[in-house]
Order: sequence, then structure tokens, then C-alpha cells
Amino acid sequence: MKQNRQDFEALVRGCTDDLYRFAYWLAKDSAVAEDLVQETLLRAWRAMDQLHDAAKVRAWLITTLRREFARLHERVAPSEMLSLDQVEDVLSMPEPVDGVLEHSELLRRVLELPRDQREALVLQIVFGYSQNEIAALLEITPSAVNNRLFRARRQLVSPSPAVPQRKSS
Amino acid sequence: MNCIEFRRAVLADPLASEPPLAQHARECGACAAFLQGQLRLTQQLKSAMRVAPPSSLADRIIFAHIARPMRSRRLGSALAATLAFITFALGLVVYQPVSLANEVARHLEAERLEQDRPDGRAAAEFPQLVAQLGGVARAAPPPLLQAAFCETDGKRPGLHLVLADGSHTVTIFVLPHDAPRVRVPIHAGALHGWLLPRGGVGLAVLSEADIDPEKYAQLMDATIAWPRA
Repeated sequence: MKQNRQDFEALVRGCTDDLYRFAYWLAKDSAVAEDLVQETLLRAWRAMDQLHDAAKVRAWLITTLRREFARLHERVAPSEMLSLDQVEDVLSMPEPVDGVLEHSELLRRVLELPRDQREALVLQIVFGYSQNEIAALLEITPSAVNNRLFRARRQLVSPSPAVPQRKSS
Repeated sequence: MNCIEFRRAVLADPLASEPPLAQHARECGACAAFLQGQLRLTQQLKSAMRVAPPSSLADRIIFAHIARPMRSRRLGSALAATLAFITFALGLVVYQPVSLANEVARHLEAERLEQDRPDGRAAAEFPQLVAQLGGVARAAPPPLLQAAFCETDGKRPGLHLVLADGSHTVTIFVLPHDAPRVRVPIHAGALHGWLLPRGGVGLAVLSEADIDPEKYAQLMDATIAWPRA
């Protein structure tokens, strides 16, 4: 792939927004997200010769960003398998109703999701990736992706924990 | 497809549209409502998770890309410029006194005063010569053999003195307006010594013998005051 300034600009302008959104939901911090995006793009550009399929640039950048985040901020948590009890829970999950979850409340709940669930959800919702694509990106099985998405959606619509009432004396 | 399978599939991907899913949704009202709830949640999430990146982020990244190699180039240029400046400054520092010493040396060789022949008028004329150069004679430096007002080939005025000091003579050339930046050695024929800065004036002290220039510099300090220095 030819490397010149125009190509780099095209890459940056074409991918920065999506990468930033992924980085933001990954890091939960806008400043960290900006640094991650910049470092990812600069690092990826230096290694662009390793990319032979231009159609996979975005997925490749996401992988690079995840590795950069893991390198700088944390280790990747091991994926958890869905238990039988949790499978049965799907029948008793509350159904989200319009207006029940306010925008800010939804954001708060997304931010409170464990990283592995949040990551899978972002890739599905923001990027529109299929389960298999997410599995390939995260280097896990499709069933593990399902597991994470199930947990994420269950937590998003679960009732907020009740605030303990103070008894009057 | 039963309800559990349907809901698991919906939770994994609410937008999935396989025929068995559609058929189950038509047959089960509760699961159809569950699907609608998940579709609404997906729409809400799409809206909520579409955070706006800072508008200048792409520009900053592009600038960083350009600036990184520029930084190294700039660093190289800065180092080269610094080196050139240091060389130039060192050149100036060293060149000026060496040039001045050479000028004084040429004068001393060209107009070597009679070293061994005392001039009886030297002591008497000394204050006047000093005054002519803008200084004030505090006393005649004993024993003064020769004293003259001179000018180098570079048109620098100076006071040319020859002192007797025991078995040898010492030649002193004072440059009231031209002090060297640093002390440099000076050679004029058989004479050798130093040209040194002294209180704002230049002082060349030479002899055929090995002498301590500081001793004569102190003597000149005690003998002449240079108000302009």
C-alpha cells in the first residue's frame, strides 16, 4: 500500500470517528480515547505494509486499538461462559419500554457494563458487526460473543437496585 | 424453535431475520413483544452510543504525523545551528585576542625600543604619555628605561614601555581601548609573553626571560589609572 501524506489523511479522516467511539466506550474517558486513537493510527500507519486487504482496514485498526489499550491500561479479562441459570433468565427478563430508560440513564448503564460486554455491544451497535465478525475481532468464539451480548442487554434493562430507605426514628 | 431459543437469538442479534425467528414471533405474542422491546433498546443504544468525537481530533492526528518526522529534522537542524553558533562564537572569542596579539607583536618587532639604552626623559614624560591615552599616572614604574606613545598598524593607540627588572628587561604594551576577550600568548622576535585583559584595557607583557605576567600587571595597576576602563 502506497504510503504518503494524502493516504494517511484519508485514513485518518475516514476512520477517526468510528475509532474514537470504540475507544471512548472501551476506555470510558474521552482524553484516553483521543490518545488511543492517535497512537493507534500512527502505529498502524507505520505497520501498514503488513495489511494486504484494504477492505479490512477498519477491523485491523480496531484490533490494533484494543491491543494498544490492553498494553497501556489493562489486561484483557478472560471471557465467561453462560450458565444454565442465566439461559433460563431470558424468559423473565423485563422488557424495555419507550421512555423508561432515559438517554442519560442508558449511557450510565452502558458505562457500568463490564469491559468485555461493553466492547461486544459497541461493535454490534455502533459498527454493525455480526456475531462472527465480533468473534473474529475479539479473538473469541461466537458463543462467547452471544454470552457477552446477552449479559449486556440483561444488565441494561434490569431494574436499578433499590435505594435503601432510611427509617425514621 | 421454542421461546428460549428465540430469545437467545434475539439477544444475540435483535436485527436477525431468519425465517424460524419470524415464524416464532408470529406465533408467540410474548416473544414478539420481547423482540419489539429489544429493537427499541437497540435504537436507543444506537443513538446513545454515537458519541461525537472532538472536531479537531483528525487534524491533530495528521499534524502529529507530520510533526514527528519534522521534530527529528528540526532537532538535527537545531543541533547543527547550535554547533555552528558555538563554533562561530568560539571563533570570535579566540580570533579577536589572537588577532590583537599579532598586531601588537608586529608593532613590537617593527619598533623595538632600545632595550638596554635608558632614556633619561622616560620617567618625566610618562605622566604626559599616559594622559595622552586618557589615563592618569599615579607614579612612574621604576625603573623605566623607555616610554613612548605608539600606534599599531591597525591604528590602535598604545603605551610602549620598557622596564628593567634585575638582569632582564620587560616590554609592556598597554592598549587602553582594546582589551582582549581572553589571555593569549604573544611572541615578538626574541620576546615572548602574554596579552591579557586587565581592568578593561589590554596589557601585553613580554620578555626574553620567563616572567610572571601577573606581577607586571599588578605593577601597572598601581601605576596607571584608566578612568574610561
